[in-house]
Amino acid sequence: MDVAHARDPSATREELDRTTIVAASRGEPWAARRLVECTQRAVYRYAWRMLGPRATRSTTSELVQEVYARVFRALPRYRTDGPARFTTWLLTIAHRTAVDELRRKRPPLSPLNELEPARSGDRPDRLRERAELGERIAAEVQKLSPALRSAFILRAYHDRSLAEIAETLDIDEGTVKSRLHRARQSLQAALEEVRHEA
Amino acid sequence: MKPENPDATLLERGLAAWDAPEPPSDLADRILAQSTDVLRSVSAQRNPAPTVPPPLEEERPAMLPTTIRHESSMRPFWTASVLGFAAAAAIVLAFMAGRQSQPIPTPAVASPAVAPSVEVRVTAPPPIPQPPVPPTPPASVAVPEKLIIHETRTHETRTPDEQAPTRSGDLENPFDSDTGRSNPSDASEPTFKDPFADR
Repeated sequence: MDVAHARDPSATREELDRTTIVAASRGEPWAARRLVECTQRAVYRYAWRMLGPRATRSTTSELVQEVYARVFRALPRYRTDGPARFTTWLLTIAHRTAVDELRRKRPPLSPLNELEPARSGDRPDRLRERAELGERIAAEVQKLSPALRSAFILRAYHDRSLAEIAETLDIDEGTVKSRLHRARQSLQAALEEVRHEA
Repeated sequence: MKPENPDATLLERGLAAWDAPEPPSDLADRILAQSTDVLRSVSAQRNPAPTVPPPLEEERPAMLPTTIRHESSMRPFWTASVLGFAAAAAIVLAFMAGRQSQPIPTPAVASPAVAPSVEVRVTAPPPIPQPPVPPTPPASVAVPEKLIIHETRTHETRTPDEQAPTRSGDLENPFDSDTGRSNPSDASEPTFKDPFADR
C-alpha cells in the first residue's frame, strides 16, 4: 500500500521563487515575511506530528520559531541552483530541530485537546469515530521511532518522494523504503487489533 | 477485480483522521520578531553599512573639540602629500627603469694610450724552516725521581735554656709588674691614688 495518496490534502507544495529566497538570504524583511508565510503551515504541522504527545500550541510554536531562526542563519549558504528544492531543505532543518527537541526528554502533554473542533456538517457518531481513529493512529505513530516516524510523516502528510525523504533524512532511498515498510507494518498490526476489538 | 484491503482502508481513514491544527495567526509575526537580530546580522554581512558623509561645517555642534577640526582640515594636506610623494617615486622609478633598458653608450673616442707596462715580478716566498722534530724519548728512560724540597730554616736555633714562647692566651700583661706569678689573683693590687682626694 502506498500511503502517499492518504496525505493531508492541505499540505502545501508551493515553492518559493528564486528572487524571494535570494532576497531573504540577504536579510530583506519583505522576503523573510513572504518566506515564512508561504512555508510556516507545512513546518508547523510537521513539527506537531513529530512532537506527538509533547505537541501543544506553545511548544510547537516555539519549535517552529527555532526552525526559522536556523533557516535564516543558514539561508546564505543555500544554493538556489542546487539540486535540493527549498521546501526539502526547509523540512530538513525542521526535522533536525524536532529531533533535537525530542531528545530533551520533556514530559508528554495531551495535544489532542487542543485540536480545533471538527467540521460541523458531520454526524456526531461519525465525528466520534473519526476522532477515536485519529487518536489511535496518532498514538501508534508516536510509538514508532523518530526515524520511522519522520519518514512516514513526510511520505503520508507532506507528499515527499523517496528521493526527497532520503535527502531530508540524509539516508539512501533503500533505507527510506525499508523504514516506510516497517512503519506501515506496525500501523497495520495496530489497526488489526482495533478491528478485532470492535 | 482486486479486492479492497480492509486494513489499508482503515489505515487511510486513520491517517486522514489524524488532524494537525493550523498554525496560530500571529506565528509569522512572532517568527519575524524573533529572527530580527539574525536577519539584521545577515544583512550587515551581505551589505556593509554605507559610510555616512561627515556633516557640514555649519551642522556641527559648536562644542566640538578643536582637535577634530584640526584633523579634518589637515586631511587634504596629508592626502596631497602622500599623493605627491607617490607621484615623485613613480617618476623616479620610471626614469631608472628607462636608464636600465637603454644600452650603455660607449664613447666614440679612441682608447686611451696604454700606460707603460710595469713588470711585476712575483717571487715565491722563502720556505719556512721547519722546527727540528724533538727526538722521541726511548721507552727505557727511567722516570725521574720525585723532587724533594728541603726546607731550610733561616732563624737561629734556640738554646735549651731559652723558654718557648707563650701562647696567645698566656701573653704577658704589660701593665702587670709581677710577670712571674702563676695566679693573677695572688698579685697585689696596685695602689691607686685618687687625684681628687685632696679636694
